[in-house]
Amino acid sequence: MTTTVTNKATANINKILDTVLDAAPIGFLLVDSQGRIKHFNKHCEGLFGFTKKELLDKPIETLLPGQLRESHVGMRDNFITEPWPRMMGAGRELFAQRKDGSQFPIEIGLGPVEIEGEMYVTATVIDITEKQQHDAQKKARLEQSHYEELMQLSSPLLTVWKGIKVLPLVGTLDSIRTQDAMEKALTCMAEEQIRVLIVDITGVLTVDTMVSDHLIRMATAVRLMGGDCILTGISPEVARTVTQLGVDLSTLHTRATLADGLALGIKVIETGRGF
Amino acid sequence: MQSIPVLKIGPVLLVSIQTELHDSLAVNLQDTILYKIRDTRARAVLIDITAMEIVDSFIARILSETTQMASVMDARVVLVGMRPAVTMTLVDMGMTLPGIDTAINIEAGLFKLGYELCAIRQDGHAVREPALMETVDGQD
Amino acid sequence: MDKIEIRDEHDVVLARTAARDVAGAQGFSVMAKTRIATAVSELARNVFLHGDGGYMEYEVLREGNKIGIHCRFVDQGPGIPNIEQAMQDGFSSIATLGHGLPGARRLVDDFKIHSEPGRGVRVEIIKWN
Repeated sequence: MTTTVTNKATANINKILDTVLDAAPIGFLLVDSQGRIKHFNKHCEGLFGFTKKELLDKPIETLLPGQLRESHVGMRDNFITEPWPRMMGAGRELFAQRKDGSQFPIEIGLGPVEIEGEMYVTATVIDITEKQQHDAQKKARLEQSHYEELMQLSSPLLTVWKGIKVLPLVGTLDSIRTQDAMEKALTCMAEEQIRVLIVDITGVLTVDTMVSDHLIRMATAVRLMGGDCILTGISPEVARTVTQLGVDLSTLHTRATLADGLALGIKVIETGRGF
Repeated sequence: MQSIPVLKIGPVLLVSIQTELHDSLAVNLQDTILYKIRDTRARAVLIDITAMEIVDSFIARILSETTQMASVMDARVVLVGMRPAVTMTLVDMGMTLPGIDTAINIEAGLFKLGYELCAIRQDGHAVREPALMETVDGQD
Repeated sequence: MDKIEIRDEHDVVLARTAARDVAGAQGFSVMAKTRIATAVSELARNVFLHGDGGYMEYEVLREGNKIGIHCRFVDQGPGIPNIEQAMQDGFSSIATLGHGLPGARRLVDDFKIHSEPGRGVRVEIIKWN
């Protein structure tokens, strides 16, 4: 009598558990110590594209990308000898494979469980494709806005005298930034009929051959537009490096300080003569 | 044959390029400028390229050569109004037009020349004031 | 692909105007538009100066959000025996100061040149906005 009730109760609980698991929005698998899939919920069918019949009693490796299958057998044997609950894939990307061979990124949680003296492993599987796409988009947007902000910050054009603009350059000068600063400065010269552009490099971290080349290009462009370019903020260190590198800055008009550069600029404006 | 007008304003020739410059038109313009320098005894040439959206290596070379040739004839050429995009394109191509005189607009170009011409006069050479808006000598 | 025959210097103007207009219609920045039009001018001139004429083909490319212009220049001239040398600054067999090919290469994002002696030259360029 008691047994019957117990059996009936057990059957009921199994049914309820199945219903609950099938309703869960994540994949759930039960794997035995030999790595065979003994049970899984409905979500797994949609996730992997297999039917119940196709998957039951198959090795768990069926759901892994081909190149991982062999090494996984060893890994799961290790897990069975030292079982404790864990989240898989911390710090690295895990992929699962569908029936059609396509792969998708996942997060897995593993938990050992003993049923009637046998070791089993429960695995929960979450498809993180959308999450990853979302994260990537967010990251790209953030990087883009940081970069744009940097661009804005890094090349402001200041009016210091009628017909004279100052372009203070700060930080590391790469090709894109120089190109951008150059475009802005030249466009501004044309629109506002600027005669003199003072490029101040006090805040530039290193002036190597490449940076020198950018500066020479900028000065050349300003000259072609019909303006005069003055390079200021040249520290003793910069003067030394540039000379030792053998860079020829003689085509540029250079001054040690912005103040000296401005004085020269005003002279150019007043005489109207250029250099 | 299409041609580009070369105007004389005092001792200055003014050339404003307003059409698409194909190669022989460019070569033609160079000739016109040089003959006009000789015939009018002009001391300076302003070439206004504000309207030019494209200056490729051929046109740049013609402009650069014209400057040198005019200089041999003792006339100074000032290139006026190069667009920012044209400027950057030339610099990218490595065409830096060394030795060419430039100005941001015609006014600045005239100012540059006017100063130069007055300076020569002060140096004692027989150069007249840049009476820029007068018709000169009836040579045209 | 649209096609423009290049037989004389007027066709050079046609080719570069077409490139400029297409770039403009596709919303290219003024800088990008000027660069592609100038590169086309250089390469089209090459076709008629060195290649005894030929043609340019061009089309608009789309890749995700990117828009580009792809141009192909084909001539029937003697070809370039030493491409490496021709791509150096300052080299030119006809006086154009040798900025044509290397200059054009610096203005575009992708540049391919192919030539066999006696079978002409084929240049392909792509410029993204």
